Amino acid sequence: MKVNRTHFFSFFLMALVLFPVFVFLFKVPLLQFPASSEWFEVFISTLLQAGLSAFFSVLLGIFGALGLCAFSNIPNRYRKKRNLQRPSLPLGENKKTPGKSKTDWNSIKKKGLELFCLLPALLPPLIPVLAWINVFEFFYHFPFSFYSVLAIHICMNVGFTSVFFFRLFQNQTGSLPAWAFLHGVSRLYFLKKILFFEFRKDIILIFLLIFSFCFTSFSVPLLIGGVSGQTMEVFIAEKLKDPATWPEAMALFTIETVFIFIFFILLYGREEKEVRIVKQTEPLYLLPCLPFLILPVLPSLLIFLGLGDVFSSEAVWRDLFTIKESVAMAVIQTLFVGIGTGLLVLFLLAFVAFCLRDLFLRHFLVAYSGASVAFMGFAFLLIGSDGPITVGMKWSVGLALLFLPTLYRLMGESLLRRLKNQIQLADLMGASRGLSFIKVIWPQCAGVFFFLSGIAAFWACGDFAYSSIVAGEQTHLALLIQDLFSSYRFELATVLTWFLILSGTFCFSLFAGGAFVLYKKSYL
Amino acid sequence: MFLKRIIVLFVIVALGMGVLSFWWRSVPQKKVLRVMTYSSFVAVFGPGSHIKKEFEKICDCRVKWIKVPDSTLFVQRLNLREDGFKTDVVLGLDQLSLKKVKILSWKKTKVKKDIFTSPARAFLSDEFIPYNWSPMSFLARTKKGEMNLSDLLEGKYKNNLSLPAPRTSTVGLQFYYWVWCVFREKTEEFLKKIKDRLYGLPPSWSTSYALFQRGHVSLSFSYLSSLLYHQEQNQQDFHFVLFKEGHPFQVELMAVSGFCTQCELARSFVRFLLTPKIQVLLKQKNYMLPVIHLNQNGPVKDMLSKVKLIQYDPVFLDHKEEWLNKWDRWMR
Amino acid sequence: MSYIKNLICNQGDFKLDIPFMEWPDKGVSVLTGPSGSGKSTLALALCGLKKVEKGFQWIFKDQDMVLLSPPDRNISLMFQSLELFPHLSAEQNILFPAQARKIDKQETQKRMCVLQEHLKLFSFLKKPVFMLSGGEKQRVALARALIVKPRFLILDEPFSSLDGQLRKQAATLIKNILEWEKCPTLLISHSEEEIKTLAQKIFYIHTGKLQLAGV
Repeated sequence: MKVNRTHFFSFFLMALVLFPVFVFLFKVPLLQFPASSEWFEVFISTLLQAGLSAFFSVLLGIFGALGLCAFSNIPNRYRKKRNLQRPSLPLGENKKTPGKSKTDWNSIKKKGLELFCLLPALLPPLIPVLAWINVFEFFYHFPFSFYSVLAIHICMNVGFTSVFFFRLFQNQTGSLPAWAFLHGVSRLYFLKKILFFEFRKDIILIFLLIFSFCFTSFSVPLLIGGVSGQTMEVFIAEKLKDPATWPEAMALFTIETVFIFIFFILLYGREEKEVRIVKQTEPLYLLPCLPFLILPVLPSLLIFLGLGDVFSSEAVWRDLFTIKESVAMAVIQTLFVGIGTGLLVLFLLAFVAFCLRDLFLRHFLVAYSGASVAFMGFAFLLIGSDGPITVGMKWSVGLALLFLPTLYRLMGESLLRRLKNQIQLADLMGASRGLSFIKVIWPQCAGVFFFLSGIAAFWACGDFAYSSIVAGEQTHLALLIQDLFSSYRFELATVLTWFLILSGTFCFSLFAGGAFVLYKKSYL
Repeated sequence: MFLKRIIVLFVIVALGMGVLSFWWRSVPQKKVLRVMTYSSFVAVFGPGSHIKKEFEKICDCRVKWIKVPDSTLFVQRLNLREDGFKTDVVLGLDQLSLKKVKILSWKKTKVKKDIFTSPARAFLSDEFIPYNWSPMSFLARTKKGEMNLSDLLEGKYKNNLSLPAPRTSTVGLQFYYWVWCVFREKTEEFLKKIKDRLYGLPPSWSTSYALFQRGHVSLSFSYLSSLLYHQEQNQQDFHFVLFKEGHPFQVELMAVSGFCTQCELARSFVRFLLTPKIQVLLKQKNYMLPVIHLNQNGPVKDMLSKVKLIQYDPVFLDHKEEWLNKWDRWMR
Repeated sequence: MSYIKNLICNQGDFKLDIPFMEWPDKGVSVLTGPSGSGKSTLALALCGLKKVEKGFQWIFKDQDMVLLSPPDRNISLMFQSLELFPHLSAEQNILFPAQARKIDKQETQKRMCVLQEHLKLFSFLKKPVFMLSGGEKQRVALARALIVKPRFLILDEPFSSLDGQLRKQAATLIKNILEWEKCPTLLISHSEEEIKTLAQKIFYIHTGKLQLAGV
């Protein structure tokens, strides 16, 4: 194979992503497999947990999507009637007309609802977990077990899967439901044989995404897993505590990574199906699914409920006032970490897009489960000094590298796949890599990349697992919240969660705003 | 063209950072004392910032904290880098983790033995110096008479006890040790019975205690000194439950690390922590009891006189990992 | 005459295998056949965008095209899906290949004027691509393919997104412009109409094999 500059760049990027593993291998050059009885049980339980979480997230997500479809069709009825009197436009004729002020509210409402449903997936895990514990405790004792990890994972992902399937159904079902209705197909049959069958590839894809997310999830099982909810990640972190078992941790990490890798290569390595976009002409009226709307909406609602009840106590405000300086410092640090991580993720994503001709790199990013949080932390502890600037850099760089594979898998890969033909064409036209990046790739990816960076920024604001390892003397809101928990100030910690949400939203909207500006610029 | 620009940008940024770091180093700096401790010690409400301020007044140095998420991670962190992060003092070891900690190298520190109270004095060695301690037991929201451990198995405590997991929290480990010291070969039987009395097993003491503070459980395993916090907050309805079998206790220790670069300074810091002023500060901010003779008043002192402490059997700690694995099996 | 030899291209279960195929250096040759017969694969292979087995030969006007890199072959390809850059305006789309090949601006402008004239692009040149109708997009894509005076033009089912009347018009338009441009063209198509209007030589391929060649 000819080695060109792109190969060099993608090699560099892969080395960067894998760097914590290398650093640790340098420190602990041997693998030692722990007794199989010890890890196998954890492995199986992680597998089960991830599998069930993904299964239920997808299943409920499909119903949730039907709910969203039903909801988005409510106000359209009147418009439909008017449309009927208009002569139908010839096929291929322009459907989008400028100055669509009448439908704008509709789409804003739809977008708003989508964002609301996505909230649990966008927020750092700490926040929804705290809120749901609060709400749940109100009814019943909160179990720290396998089941709670399962439940929280499902709650975190169901909004995301719902929105995903909602978009899919809206764009791709076309007149299938109408056809089924005409032929007297029963609802159950329609779901089972038509909807599930038609979209089975997408269902598998989203299942895999959620599966890998739950399999490698760290914060959630750490916070609420108890003994039975332990996952591989937590187990590895546990093994890393004692220097004597570091080789075992390394071996376990290898097992986990290889497993996810094989899993993805087997199931995801295929070519994506040709996307057939048929704007839905008929609503899915076959299924009066409005009640299902509760599935994606409820988890987000509960977040607000769970965090809302803390403002009553006066002592909390007094305490908050006494630590106002620390809070202010923490907010500033949070913003630094958030924005820094967002920018780095943006840069790295741009880097991947620049190297998009290198399929190996892209498959690698899709299949690589990401270094364990503890590994990443260790790697960065091992290098560099602990001056404030260095710590700040390590903090953001580590988080960016941790988030990159997940975010790329989420939206990046499908985006780059869609550009395949355009890039081929640009290459054929003799465009240099730089030109096709600037003129073709970047303008089409920037919006999504900014959005993903916004998510990374938000996650970075709320990360405490990695941050607590590298932060040194510095602290940010998530760490402050954790500290308050361990100094009896439970309610104050919950109040600060709101500060965290606000800071995170600020960081997110900086990037999302960037995305919006780019969108406007490129289309108008 | 595009690539060239990027490379130039890289070079400029790298040069900029180099200059910046050079400037940073060239600024004359004071001696730095590096103290490794767990994060809640230096948290906003913790004693860390006060101690730092007080010590910097007298030492002409800068105290730099090396935060570790929790006290189970000291050994790991000291082992991670060849230079042990140039740690001078480690603050926050406890008597149950000493066995593992002793593998590392430590410097001797001389302190007067007679200033210590019992039981802290028993844990004083050439290297490890206690700085605060507290007996442990369940805390309750209503006043209770003396109890037996087996009273915890009563039906009314179903899902009503909170306790952190022993693997991730020293508090949990203390409970396990306690149960083991009391029940020995019947430990398994007792633990299996108490399993459904427990409200899950949160990973940390803080979560476990938060469940109690929010009224989800009626008993929570914690420190006697937790009452100090509730006193300060004027919360009168928190009580320490006395047990006939005796009580476990936690002694927190500090030591001058073998990696130290400012060893003398480190020793003076250790001695500084044993001065009455700082011991009072630790009591007020760390909510733990002082290890030196002080005039203490209030309900905590009254209670202290009633508390009987258990005798620890070191056999448990020799096979700690094995016992933890057993715990996982029984409690799964 | 130009010809290809020993074109073998494996794609999963599908195998495109064309031992020999010859077409004139001028005018429009049409490649037809049912869906999935390998027409588009053949087009991509000619452009150098598909991996082919060793031994492939393509002599075009006495030049060995296989030795050239895809851009150096100077082939313009118009995809079935057109693949206009959706974020650019019609004009930016058309000018992109000229920009990519760093062709002198004045020359490009001249060429642009000519194409505007022939393809009637005036009314929507500044519009973003997503606001154009199917027929307009078609013309933009064709202009983009022609702006750099390609050595060889491949049109992959260019009319598939149009219907009835529009289709007929488009076919006539392409016929005219190709006559005028004198650029040898390979047209991939299903439709008899187009074949009748445009073809000088017809190839029929089926399941990856060349079945028929006629004039």
